[in-house]
Amino acid sequence: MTIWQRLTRFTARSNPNPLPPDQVLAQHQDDSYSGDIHATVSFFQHLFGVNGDWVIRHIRVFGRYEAVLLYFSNLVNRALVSESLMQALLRPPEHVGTGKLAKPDLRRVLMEETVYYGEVYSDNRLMRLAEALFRGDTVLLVDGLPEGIVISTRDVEHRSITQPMTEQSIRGARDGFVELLATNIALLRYRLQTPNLRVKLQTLGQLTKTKVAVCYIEGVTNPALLQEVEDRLAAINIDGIIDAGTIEQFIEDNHWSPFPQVQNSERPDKCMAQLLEGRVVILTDGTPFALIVPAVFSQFYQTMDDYAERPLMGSLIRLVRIVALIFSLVFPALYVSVISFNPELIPTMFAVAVAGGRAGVPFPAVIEVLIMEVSMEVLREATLRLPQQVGGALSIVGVLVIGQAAVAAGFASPITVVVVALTTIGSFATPAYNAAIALRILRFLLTILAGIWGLYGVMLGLILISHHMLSLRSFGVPYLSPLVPGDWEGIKDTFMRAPLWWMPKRPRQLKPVNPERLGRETMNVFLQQPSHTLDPVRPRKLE
Amino acid sequence: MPRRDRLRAGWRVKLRVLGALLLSLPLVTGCWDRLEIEMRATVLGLAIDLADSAAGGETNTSQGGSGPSRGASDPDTDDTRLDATASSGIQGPIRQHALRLTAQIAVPGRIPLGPGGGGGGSSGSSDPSQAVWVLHAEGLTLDEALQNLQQQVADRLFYGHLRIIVVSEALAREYGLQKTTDFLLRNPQVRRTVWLVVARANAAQLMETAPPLERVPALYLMATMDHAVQMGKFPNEFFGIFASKAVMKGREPVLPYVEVMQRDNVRISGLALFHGERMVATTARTFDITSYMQLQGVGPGGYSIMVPVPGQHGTVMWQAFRRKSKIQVRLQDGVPHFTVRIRLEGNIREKSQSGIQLNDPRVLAAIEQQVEREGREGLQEFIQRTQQLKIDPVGFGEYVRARQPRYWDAHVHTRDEWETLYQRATFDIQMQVKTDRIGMENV
Amino acid sequence: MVARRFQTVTVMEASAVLISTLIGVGVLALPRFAAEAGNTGGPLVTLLGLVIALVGLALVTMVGMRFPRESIVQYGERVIGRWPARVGTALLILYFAALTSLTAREFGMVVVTSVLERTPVAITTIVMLVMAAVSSRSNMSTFAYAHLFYLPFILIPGFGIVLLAMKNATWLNVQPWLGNNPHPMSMATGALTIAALCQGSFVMTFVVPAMREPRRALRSSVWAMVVASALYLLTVLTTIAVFGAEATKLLLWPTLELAKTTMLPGQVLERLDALFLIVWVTAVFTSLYSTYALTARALQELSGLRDHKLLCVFLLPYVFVIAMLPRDILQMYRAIEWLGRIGLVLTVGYPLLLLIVAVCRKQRGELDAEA
Repeated sequence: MTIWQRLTRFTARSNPNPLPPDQVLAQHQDDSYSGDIHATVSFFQHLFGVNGDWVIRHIRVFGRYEAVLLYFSNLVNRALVSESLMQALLRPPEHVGTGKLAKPDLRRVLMEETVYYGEVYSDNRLMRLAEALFRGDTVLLVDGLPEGIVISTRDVEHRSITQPMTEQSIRGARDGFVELLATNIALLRYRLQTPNLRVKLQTLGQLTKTKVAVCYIEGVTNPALLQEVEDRLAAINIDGIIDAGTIEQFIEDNHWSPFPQVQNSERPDKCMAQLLEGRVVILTDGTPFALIVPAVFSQFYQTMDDYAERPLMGSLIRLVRIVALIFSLVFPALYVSVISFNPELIPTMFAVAVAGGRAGVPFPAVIEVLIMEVSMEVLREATLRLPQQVGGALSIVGVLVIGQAAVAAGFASPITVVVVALTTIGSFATPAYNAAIALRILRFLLTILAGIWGLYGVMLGLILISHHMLSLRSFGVPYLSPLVPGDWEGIKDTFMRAPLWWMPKRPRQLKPVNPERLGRETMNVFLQQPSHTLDPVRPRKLE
Repeated sequence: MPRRDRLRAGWRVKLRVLGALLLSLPLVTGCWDRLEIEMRATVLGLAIDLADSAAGGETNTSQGGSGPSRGASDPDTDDTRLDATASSGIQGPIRQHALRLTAQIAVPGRIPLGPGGGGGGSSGSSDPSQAVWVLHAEGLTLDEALQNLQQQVADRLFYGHLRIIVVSEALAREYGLQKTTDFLLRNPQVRRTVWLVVARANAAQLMETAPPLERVPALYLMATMDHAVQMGKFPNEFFGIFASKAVMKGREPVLPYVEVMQRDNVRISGLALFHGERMVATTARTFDITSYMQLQGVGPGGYSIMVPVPGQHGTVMWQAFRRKSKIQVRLQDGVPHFTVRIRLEGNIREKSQSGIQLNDPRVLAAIEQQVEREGREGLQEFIQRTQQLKIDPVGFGEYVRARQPRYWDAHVHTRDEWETLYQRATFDIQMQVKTDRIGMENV
Repeated sequence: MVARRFQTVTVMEASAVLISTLIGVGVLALPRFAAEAGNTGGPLVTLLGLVIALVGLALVTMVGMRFPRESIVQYGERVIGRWPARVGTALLILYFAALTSLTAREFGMVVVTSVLERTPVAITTIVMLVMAAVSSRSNMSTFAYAHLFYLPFILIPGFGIVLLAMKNATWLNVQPWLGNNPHPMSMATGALTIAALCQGSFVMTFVVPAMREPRRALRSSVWAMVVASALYLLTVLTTIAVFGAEATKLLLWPTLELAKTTMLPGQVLERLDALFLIVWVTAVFTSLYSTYALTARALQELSGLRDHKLLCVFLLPYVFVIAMLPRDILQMYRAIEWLGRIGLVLTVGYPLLLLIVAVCRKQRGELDAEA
């Protein structure tokens, strides 16, 4: 007998009932609770009895009716269950008296007069009851009553709202999303107190049963976009949604592009702003990151600070960020092509000096830059993964090694170090981490092209990149819009950040139902001569 | 439906990736043109002499003369070589003659990075003669000489930072610059803004001077020219302009004419006047540069002249800071007649006698008149001299070509035809002088 | 077919396509052609050539607007019959394949001569062709977006360099306007040569059916021609003014020399020629992109295939072989001039024929015929 046969035999013998609980439940999908608590309890016990936190509590409701409370002890608020719920159930309300109640009356009394909890409902399908149990609800089965009563007692440990770690801002709001979907929806609702904010819930993931909320503003968001989002979400058939990233990877348009086509954010204020522009926000239970679709490239370098500050400041810091972004993409490539191909472009004095600085370096400039860039990436990744206390020390060592020692050892020329440092700083200035990574990858491509054809290679690379970006779409929205195709309303918020009163329309590429975001009169009011209320000479008098 | 679309998109991407791989195939095979900056022998300056004129004097000062390179001071080899070429029939209507080339090549390690020269330990010497390497080579043409030079240098010669080319007067006068300029125009690395200057005696000498003001001698020479242009003391006549003018029919090119003073300093002493590619004369006086610039109406005026104040003993220094010129041409008795109007604005910089009352309008008017007279005389002299020399450096011919095209087309077909006409041309020079400021003193 | 699905091109995008197609490889040698034909009258010759090109473009646009939802391949068959039109289309395809390859070859030659001296010309040529082929696979709206996106990168540095170079200009060099010893024959030939540089504008025949409002196509044609002409004229004017007519004739690529002579104020960059070449890579790419896409689409419609993407790939070897045919740069330029003249007959004559026949037969296309 081979090992294989023995093994198969063993499995066959040790597992007389090979069906996992969810399939058993699926088989009993249409079964309803008959009112016979013993049969039902044994059915549930059979299915969930293995679990250590599975609780079956037999009680007598009002001291008269035999009943059972079912729950998972770690999912419910135990104090509440044992104190308020138990007390209320055991002691009959005064007006009930001592007589026997009819079945419908009993149900009414229980649901409407006894339990103090916010959410109570009754259901008679076993499947639904089981689902409720796993959500953290408590199920009350009364003998003879043909419906189970579900009391929401869910209480999951969660962290409190903190500052969003990945998106710091100077002036914006300080709260960030947490893992709990309910809290996140609350944060959005709190900011958008309108009946038009719609939150559509879906459950994704066969095993994780992750709740996914599609949020949009009715009357702003284009219905076709919403439909597309829902379709793409519905098409996801996967065992588990691990993170919002899982969803992102399923709903994006081009899976091989280095550029992110879905924006993620843990800032409720950002989500709110995007909702107001007509985008759709997808919240996922269990992750503090919301997905925002559709996403165009300009979103990845905009921050909330741009809008919190006054337009001039906002435009300026945004311009700085764009410069940093371009820097982080092309700077090493330009350096390589100037050093190895076109030294005639830099001033003579500097060229001669650079040649001197490079005289001892054994590698060509491309290799030198690539080595330095790779070690910079390694350093960055290392500091990112390390505990914070160690990270600081490591970055000092890294900076010393890469900056000083590499030059002293003749491993790199000082100017290369400057170039690499500037590039790295530049890529840190891009607010969106995933967009920064895209540019980091492409920077290597450009550097290699520069090492082969100099400036011509850089140009070819840039044309390839831009052509890719031009052909990219996010939910049908061209990735480089509003720049291309040109939309003047959108361009006002692309390179600069125009004054708010000067941007009366929502971005056109999202085709919002209602394109106006500014009241018609606002513009006129703002352009009027301000009234000098406290003028030192002629103060305005109150009528 | 969208699902299938996206699947198709996946195929498209795969094809694109394949395309990118195909595209990167040639990349792997090599980077033909990559040449690191420190692997290039950056030529900063070139001096071109006639081989025999320099033969006796200079010896190879640097270490390049070992091995296969021909001895720079070896007239015998040159002669045999020349004979050989002569017999092989290269000799055309233009007599061939060997050029002696002196090149200034940057030595990378010697010029430290950043401001302040002290940091660099062993190599941080700021002696300009240390920063460059001066090499010699000979050849029949410029490129041949450069190829011979390449034989002596390990790294590939790189002309992208060639900033100054000095040609000896003897070469320019005897053989013209045809052999020199063709290579420079044909080579994509050479800038058109490089300075081409004529040296009075020995061009190589300029490559060996080591002025203390600048770390690199060739850059000092370049700065000398550039700053002279900025100060309005010299027209911006760089190589590209020379090349363009050399083929115009109604205009002769000029080049800066420099000489080495006592030791290491260089003086711009005038303009070398050309007839086509061949040098004919130099300007007689420094003031001729001013006259030339006035006629061209170029840029900021920078020249100052010392004028005696009429009726008084002393002199004042009068400096032009703005000038404008207008040249009109009409035909008079079958020859062109030019009306030159020049407007000068200037300052008084200095007076030599306290008695001169500059705040007196009459005195000022007298000074202006004097300036005007001297200026006009200078212009007339300059024009007359060029007429005698039968060259037209100002480009009066171009005015005729542009403004009297019918006359030009009928009478002028070659450069020489115009210059014969030019000798007969008449001029009417008007000058307007205005003094703007007299400095921080009131009188 | 493909064009029918994407009717999104705006007037501005159509203009952008035309401008960036028009400004291409020819701009380097343009002042030489102009100076050779008309001495100091070069700008005038250029103007004449541009006017001819404008007439040609207007013809193409007008016949396109008459059949607003069809390309020349389709309405050609309706107007002059199936087989004559097929011959015409085949000739057009051959011509544009040759034009594409010669453009790429000229580009490769310039790069190899001026920047990458040791790189084989085959490499620089094929890389550009591969880029064009890969890009041509995208759809019409990406095509329009790409041209719109690159336009500022062509126009701003282009005008910038010319304006900076004006500092060195001597306006005497462009007088008299008619040129010395004006020679009408040579000026006319020169004008035709210059008009031939603008043949990429034939791509309009494929842009019109993709336009949102085809009736405004003529407007975008005229606008594009005005902008491109402004750059062309300024380039010729400035180049001749800086170098003089005589010297311009001697330069192989006067515009490149112009960039070489020009310095950026403030001495940031010592010379602009490498910068200029970069800009010019973009300009050539857009032109190549247009003509390559034009060839591929015409071929697709002629062959009746559903997708043009594979054709883009299959076309590549042929185009490359044609590009490698000229032996040297002189032969290449002779081929370009010769081909340009032939092309002028084809790209002006064929639409003219179609227009005349269509007017006589009172044929016109419906705006939303197949919608």
